[in-house]
Amino acid sequence: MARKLNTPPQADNGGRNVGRRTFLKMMAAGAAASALAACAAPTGGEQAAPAAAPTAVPTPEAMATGAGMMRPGGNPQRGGTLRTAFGVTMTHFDAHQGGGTHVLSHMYNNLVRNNLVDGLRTIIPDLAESWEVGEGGLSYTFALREGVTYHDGEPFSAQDVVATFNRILDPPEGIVSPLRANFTFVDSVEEVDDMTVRFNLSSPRPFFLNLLTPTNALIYSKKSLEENNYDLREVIAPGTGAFRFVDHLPAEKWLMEANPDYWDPELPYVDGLEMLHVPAWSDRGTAVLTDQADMSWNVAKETWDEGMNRPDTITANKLANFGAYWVFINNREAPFDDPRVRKAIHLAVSKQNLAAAFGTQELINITRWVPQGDPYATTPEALSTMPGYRAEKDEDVATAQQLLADAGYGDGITGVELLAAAGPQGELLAPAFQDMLKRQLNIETEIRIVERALLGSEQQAGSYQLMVHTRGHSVSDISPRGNLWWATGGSQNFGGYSNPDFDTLLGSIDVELEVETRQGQIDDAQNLLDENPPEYLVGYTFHLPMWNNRVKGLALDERAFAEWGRMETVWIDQDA
Amino acid sequence: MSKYLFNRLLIAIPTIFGVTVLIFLAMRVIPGDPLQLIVSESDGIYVLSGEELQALRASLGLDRPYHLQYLDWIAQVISGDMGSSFWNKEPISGMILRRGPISAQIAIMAVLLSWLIGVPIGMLSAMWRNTMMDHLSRVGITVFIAVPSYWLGLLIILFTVLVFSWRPPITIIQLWEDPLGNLSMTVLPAMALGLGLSAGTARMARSAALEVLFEDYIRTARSKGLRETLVVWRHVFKNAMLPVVTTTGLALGGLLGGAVSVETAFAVPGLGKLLVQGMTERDWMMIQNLVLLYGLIYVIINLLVDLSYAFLDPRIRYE
Amino acid sequence: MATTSAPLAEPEGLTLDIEGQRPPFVRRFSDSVVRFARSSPIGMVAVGVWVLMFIMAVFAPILSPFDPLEADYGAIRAAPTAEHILGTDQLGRDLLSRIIYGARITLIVSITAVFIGDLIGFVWGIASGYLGKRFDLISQRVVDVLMSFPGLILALLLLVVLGAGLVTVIVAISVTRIPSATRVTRSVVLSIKEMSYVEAAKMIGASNIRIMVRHVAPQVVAPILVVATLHLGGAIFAESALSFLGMGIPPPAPSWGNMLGGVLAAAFRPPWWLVIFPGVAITVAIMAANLFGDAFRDFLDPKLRQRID
Repeated sequence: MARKLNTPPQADNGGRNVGRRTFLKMMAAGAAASALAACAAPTGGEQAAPAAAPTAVPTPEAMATGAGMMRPGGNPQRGGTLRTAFGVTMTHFDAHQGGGTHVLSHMYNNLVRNNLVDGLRTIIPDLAESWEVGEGGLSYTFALREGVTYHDGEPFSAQDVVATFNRILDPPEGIVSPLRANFTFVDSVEEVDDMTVRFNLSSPRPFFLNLLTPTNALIYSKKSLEENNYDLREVIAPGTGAFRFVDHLPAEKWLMEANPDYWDPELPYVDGLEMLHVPAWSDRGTAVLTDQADMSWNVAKETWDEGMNRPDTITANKLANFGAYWVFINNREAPFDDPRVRKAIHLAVSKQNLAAAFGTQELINITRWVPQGDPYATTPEALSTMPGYRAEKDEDVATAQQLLADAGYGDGITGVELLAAAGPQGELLAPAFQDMLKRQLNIETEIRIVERALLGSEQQAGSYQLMVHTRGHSVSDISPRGNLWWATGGSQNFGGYSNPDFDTLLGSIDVELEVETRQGQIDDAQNLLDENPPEYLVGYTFHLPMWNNRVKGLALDERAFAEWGRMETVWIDQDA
Repeated sequence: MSKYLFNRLLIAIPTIFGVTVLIFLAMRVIPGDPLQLIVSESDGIYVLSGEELQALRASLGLDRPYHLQYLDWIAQVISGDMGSSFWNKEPISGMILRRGPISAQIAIMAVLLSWLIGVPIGMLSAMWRNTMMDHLSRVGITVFIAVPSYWLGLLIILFTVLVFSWRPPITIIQLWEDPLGNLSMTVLPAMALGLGLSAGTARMARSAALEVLFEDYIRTARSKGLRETLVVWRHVFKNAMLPVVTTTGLALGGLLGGAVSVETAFAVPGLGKLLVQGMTERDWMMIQNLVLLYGLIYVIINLLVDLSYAFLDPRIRYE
Repeated sequence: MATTSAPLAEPEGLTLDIEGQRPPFVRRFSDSVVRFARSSPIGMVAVGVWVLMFIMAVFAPILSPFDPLEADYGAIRAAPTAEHILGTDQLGRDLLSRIIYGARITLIVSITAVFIGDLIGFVWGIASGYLGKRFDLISQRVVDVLMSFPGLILALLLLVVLGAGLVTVIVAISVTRIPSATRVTRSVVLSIKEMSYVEAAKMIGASNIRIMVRHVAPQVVAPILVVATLHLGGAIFAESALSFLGMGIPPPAPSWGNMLGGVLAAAFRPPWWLVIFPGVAITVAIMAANLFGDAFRDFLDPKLRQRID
């Protein structure tokens, strides 16, 4: 993080940006780094790549050529097929309705995307070549890339962007739109001219561009939307992306080939992608270790350890990501309606022990309510001395026992049900959590195991007391998920948490553009959540990508967080 | 004989009807609504509103009365369309066609293995009754009948991983595409299943052989001076094989069940693993059709076993 | 069953006469045990193994060195040492203690499931065989349906509906025992239905229920006991396999089967002690059940034994 932020802004494209002063301040504060891409947007033949990949010295041809995609350095070789091992099944092919974008995204582009060159720390152009922020951050105007065509030959234009986002913001009947919750503050998306699009906001959002980067915020053509009655679940709609669809053998593999007409003439380097469906967690790592696949986005910890021992052929890394394990607490009923009881649990249960218990499965990244990988996150150093997060537990446990006694449960609590999914969560996390509740707080729980698919409905019905479950988000900023999860009446606030102080603070965080002020507000919000926790956070996970040494150009060793997405910059080193 | 055949087939009809009703009802009282989760799989939670859920249910025909849904299902199955998986959209019939051969191959190889190992051991054990060989083989039979097949599978994997750092392939490889790759995927599971089965076969072969050995015609044959081995091969083998073949048919039921856990142990992409996966994911269209498939296979095997009994032993006739 | 004549006086007296027809098994149970021990030393060894398992189960808190649920985050998946003789599992729990406690689940599930399933099969088989006619016809078709699934698949289907848990596993396994128990009982009943003393009881106007309870059922006790002992091994296998597949006994309760589940899934190099020891426990228990079942059958039906051995 700091590495990037010490570099001065590279391209100053002539004050096209109205809100530039604000953004420069943000940059100086070292936060919301991605926003600086607004200034760093390359235009024309300008060399715009910030020298941000410190390990790989970018060679001239590997840097942005003309309007091309910025890509990590090295001397790329052409040819070959990249084989990935992952779960690639999906219920349908509509990325906006929840189709699996770690597969689909290769065939499409977004308006903007995270920059691979600096490990996803800034935002760079994709289909939008540049953008301007309007007065007060209330509008974003995107100049679109010329000469882009879809795989069916259809030219790309502003109408496609408008059609795409209108469907997200205001889905026709029968279309579900999970992305809509992210864009509640967007009033309209308008076509300024054929190659210009403007988003009008009802109130500013400092993280607006970040909302356009997730792999599922991709652009469909107006033509495919209209032809299919705005429902793309059954069709693989043509995209503008670097790869074209070839074949899909369900529950087995996806095949894609390089798009010869891709708007970046250099890309892609490989001839195609072969995405093998490997449903079992541990088999993904095994596939890479046994050379049945070249890479996997995320492998089981044990196979990852094995990969770490084979530096001659295999490289592995751990990346922050925005999926987490939680123990959800139903705030509606005694004894968990009492914030003191929830805080006692927050303090007394050791995250380090839970991480150890889950160590054979995944690497737990002990973080606070704002995860590592987000610029506003509390640093691991600060966390290591913080009550509830530190390894040294005696003082926290004593405080917790006192809190429980104050709440009238000094003798402990009995008859609590702890719900967990079958599999590792039920076999490892739940028993460890149960063990520590009993040992530290004399809270006796009964574990009930249900199939993973049932947890969600139990959660939505609110028919639980404690529940071990996963929950994640695609945008790292606290504001969107804060409103969904913790705001009073939030649409995914299944535990019924209500904290008026937090609600007020969140309202300010949503719209604050001043970085330092926002940092302070977010710190305050995290303190409020520590004091009156809505649920117990086990920890975010590290994603554990593992790849054969011949796989290059994905910056997997460099990323600030895991993004299972586009791979047009990948190349295969035949000599490795 | 043809009357017996007719009767036996007639009885299979209400059985199959009952099987379908039982499965259908089980799937309708299954707790939890998989539809609620369809959208949540890849990009976080998304909660379907009541109307959205209703629309989805209607589009899948789930808002129709039960008896119509049942008839829909039966009509679909008869026309060869088994619907598709909730989670990956794959047509279930296609999945069965791709994975079925793997499972069938493992089962057949297990049976062949059980004959290859079980019959000779059983016969030798009978011929050399109360010798060391007999005692040893009987101990082996007792042990291998008791060893759970999936645990045997785990032991085999443990051995190959610790000694050879080798694991079976994870993608589907058909025998006709890549025989070696296919065998490296199927031989070990077939062993795990087949060894337990050979114990049962050996036991059956031994008792059948013992019975034959004391029949008058064997004594006659011996007294006529035919060489011992010839006697054994001509008479004992032939007579010992009959019960072995028919009991193997019955054992296939246990084999189908055992294969589910063995396939899971080996992570073999067969039907059994698919069934377990479908069950943990509440993919009820998949469960419904796979359980039906298992039921039908079992009914057919039982039918064939009954018929073979009747064919081999004319005294047995139904009712 | 139309009863035309009024019930005669003193049916009890008649029953006493018929008492003589009962097999010696019911009358002299203790004698039988002694004779069994003499006739089958291997069977007695099997019984001994089961007695040991009972001791393990009952005195688990005394016998096991650790609490089977207590995690030790500092000793996760430790190989066998002097402290943990069989090593520890993924949560640092003592494997030996978990195996000792696991005997409880094995015994409770297998015995209860076999008892319930075979009792239902016993009653149903008597009713079906004795009453005959339409009841028998329908019963047999229902049994056909239950028999149309491989046992483990039927149990899995039931557990998907009922959810995982101790009680539901017992229910699922007992249902899979019903068909064969019903069939065996029914066939025995069919063969004794026409016997003179049953006919006699009918003649004097005893009710169907009374005839079934007092005259038919005792004849079927011995065969159903043989079936039950032979079912035990299958029930132990079923419980372990269901728990292995994650559909049976849910964690953290230590069941030998669920201890094997997930061991390989997470591990590229699986810890051998976690694979071997629980499996040995399952195998020994099944073997003891099978040996006892065989010996018990031979004991009750010496003709069969002579033929096979």
